[in-house]
Amino acid sequence: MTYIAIIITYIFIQNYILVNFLGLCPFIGVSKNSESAIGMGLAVTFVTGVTSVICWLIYTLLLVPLHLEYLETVAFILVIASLVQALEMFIRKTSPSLYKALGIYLPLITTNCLVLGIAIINIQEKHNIFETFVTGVSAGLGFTLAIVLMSAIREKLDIESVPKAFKGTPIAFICASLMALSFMGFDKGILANLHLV
Amino acid sequence: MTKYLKSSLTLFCICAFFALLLSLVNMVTEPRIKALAEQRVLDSLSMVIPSNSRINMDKGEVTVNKDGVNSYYIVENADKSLKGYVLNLKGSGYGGEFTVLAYYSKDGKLEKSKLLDNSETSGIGKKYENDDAISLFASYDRIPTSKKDLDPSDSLIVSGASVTFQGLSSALIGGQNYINSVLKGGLK
Amino acid sequence: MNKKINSAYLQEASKGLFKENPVFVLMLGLCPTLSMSAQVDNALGMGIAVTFVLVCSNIIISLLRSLIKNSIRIPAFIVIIASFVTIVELVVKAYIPSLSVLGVYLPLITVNCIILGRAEAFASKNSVLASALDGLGMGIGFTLSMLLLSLIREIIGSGSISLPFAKISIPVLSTHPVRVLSLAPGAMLVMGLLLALFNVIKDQKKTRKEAKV
Repeated sequence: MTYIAIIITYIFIQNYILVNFLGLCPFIGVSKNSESAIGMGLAVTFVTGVTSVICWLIYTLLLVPLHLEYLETVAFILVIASLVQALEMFIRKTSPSLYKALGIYLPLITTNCLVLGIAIINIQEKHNIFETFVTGVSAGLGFTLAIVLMSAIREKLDIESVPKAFKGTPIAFICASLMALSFMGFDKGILANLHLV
Repeated sequence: MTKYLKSSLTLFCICAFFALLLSLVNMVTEPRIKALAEQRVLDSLSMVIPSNSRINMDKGEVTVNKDGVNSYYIVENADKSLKGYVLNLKGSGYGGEFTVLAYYSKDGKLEKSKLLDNSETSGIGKKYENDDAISLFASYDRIPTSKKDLDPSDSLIVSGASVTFQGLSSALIGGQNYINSVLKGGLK
Repeated sequence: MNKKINSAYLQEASKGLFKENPVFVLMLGLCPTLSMSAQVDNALGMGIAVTFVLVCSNIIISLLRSLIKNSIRIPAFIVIIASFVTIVELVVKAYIPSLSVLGVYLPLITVNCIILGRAEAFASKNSVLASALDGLGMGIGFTLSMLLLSLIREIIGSGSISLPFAKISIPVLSTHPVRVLSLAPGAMLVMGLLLALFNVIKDQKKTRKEAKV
């Protein structure tokens, strides 16, 4: 696949939240207003981009030569947890404004399925290092797109009269369901029609 | 300082203990996982080879990774003389990449093929997982390159899904060329 | 005295079923819940895998709770959980290959918030037996919620119920299934409707209680 095909695939066709439910907890939890949604989205994009490359390096340069492939999950989650921690400290030192925008979301990202999921999927799909990076960033952008759209919908919902039983999360799930339905329209045929495969 | 040292030592001990535990579990499960994977390959191979022949498992899978050919297996008659090859071919279709297993006789005639894992959208590209559709390719003397080469009754079976048809056709022809130009009825 | 302790433990185990149900009340671990609930047998497999990891990690964390200092708490918990997840993964690959459809969601049990959440909130503060029961109760609550979701989705979405050793097909629905329920949007739709239903039930209970008072 070309890089453009990867980007289109992971942002639209196989949006990880709306098709595979990876990262659903923050998607429902942090989408109440668009400001925090954008912050969360960008923080996730940043982390998936960096961690997927580092996890790939650890897997190919360390685990495979030592025949320790079975330590994949343990190694990846440790890398992600410590990297997120390090990133938080680094951003706090270097750029207080960025820290103000992303800081509070960073600790939440360790347990975001998307980050570990992308790292594992990159290995399963036998991506090379550049494809890994592009996949990580575009999966993060797909997450950002979905969560920002969702927050816009929920801000509108706040001023609508929703039946009492549906208030809060139930209606959020139903909106997400409709969004997923419309994202099903992005078919793999797009890639063939654009001559990308 | 000793406080940090102590807690990092605890963490290290926990990591070491669990790494050891995992290696033990892995020692038990690894041979079984390998055997299951081999069994899966053999099962799919036996679907494409003729009934009175067998795969030469001493040679096993020969990796190629060139011209769309991933690897091949050697197929022998009961008396161990060469009968043909099973090629593991890579191609691209409507929804991405797919893998085809194809059996060719030693002079390069395509006899049977089967689609393995693929990411085709259901209904369109998936047609070829059905044996009727993919066995079409083997029923012609020359592998059809486009739907115009097909009998009208056959083109009904594969209506739609042109991209996949072309992808399959070029993968299968690539395999034939590989046998005729590189293997030439012998071993590389 | 003894009876009192018993009932306390019973409460530990049963709170995960309804009052603190991990899926519908705490809303943790949603990603495997929704993705693996298109078929009953997969949902059951996922539920059992999560329960196993939950019980084991709760026991170990509770055993080590005095050793693990606050500063290394999170990495230590994560390593313990990830190790049990890897054990489950290897065992499934070797002995239950039919469950390999769980694919990437099996290693993702590691970041399932239920498990880390219970380790943080319960196992790191309570005795071994209580933690084990808490894990078991939460795991069963998770499994039951997955079963409920998957039954609805599979019966309407595919017109069948796939059990580990048999597949029951339902007349009429199996020829005219509402396909969308077995796809991703259907999962979210059913989840939203069920949450609303539970809200209604909770409200009714509350008003009845208030009427009594």
